[in-house]
Amino acid sequence: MDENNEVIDETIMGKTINSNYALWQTFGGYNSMELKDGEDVLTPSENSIKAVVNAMNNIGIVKPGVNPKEVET
Amino acid sequence: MNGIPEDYNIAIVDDIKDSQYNVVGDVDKVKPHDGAVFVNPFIVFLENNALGGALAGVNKKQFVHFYNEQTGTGGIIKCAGFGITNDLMRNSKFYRTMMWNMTNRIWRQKNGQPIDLDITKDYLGNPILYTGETKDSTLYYFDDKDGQYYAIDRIEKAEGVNKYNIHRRRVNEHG
Repeated sequence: MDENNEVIDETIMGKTINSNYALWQTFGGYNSMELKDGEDVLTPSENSIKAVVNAMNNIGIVKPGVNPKEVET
Repeated sequence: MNGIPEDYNIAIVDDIKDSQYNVVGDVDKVKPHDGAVFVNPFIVFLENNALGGALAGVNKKQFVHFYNEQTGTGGIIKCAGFGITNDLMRNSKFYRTMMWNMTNRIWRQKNGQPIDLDITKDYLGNPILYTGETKDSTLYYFDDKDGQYYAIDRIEKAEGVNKYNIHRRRVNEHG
């Protein structure tokens, strides 16, 4: 955002994501940044790693013959 | 991508060495990593998620002991495990190379064929929200190719195997 809260620029990038490394890079890799509580300046972050872990925790693999909705806890 | 694996790949890396001196005149060689184990950072966070309230930091010290009653022998394994963080990688090409070797492995099925995953949906078919719910939860990054900051607005599956469209927005240093 600029000083008037207007969107500066928006683009759509096509990307192949076929490994944990590629997914981590998509989220910014080691140049990941975040806005911490109470701060208004972007600071270096571990969020790209946490986002990959979020994917790992949610995607899962459904075994053949198992209905995941029946085993959900 | 399927969480904590049953098997691990391990690589042995030669430690770096340097000379060490003190005011008394002793001269020696030092190996700064001194037997350290560097750990895939995704595993570090998955372990902490599983530990709940007992979670540890990024660096952990594993302790294993075993005993053979028949022979009366035993052993102890103790080593420090250092998770590779973005902070470490920003400062060192060594860690960036290690991260690439650890995690740049193509997702495959059990039969070895590449798998076409949809990272935008969970195992129940519900959307996974990675970014953009609030300003604080938005994923930002610095692109060192053009020197600009970007916010990731959303990720959508595209046509083709493991193809995605990443919607990103250029922002200033205030997000």
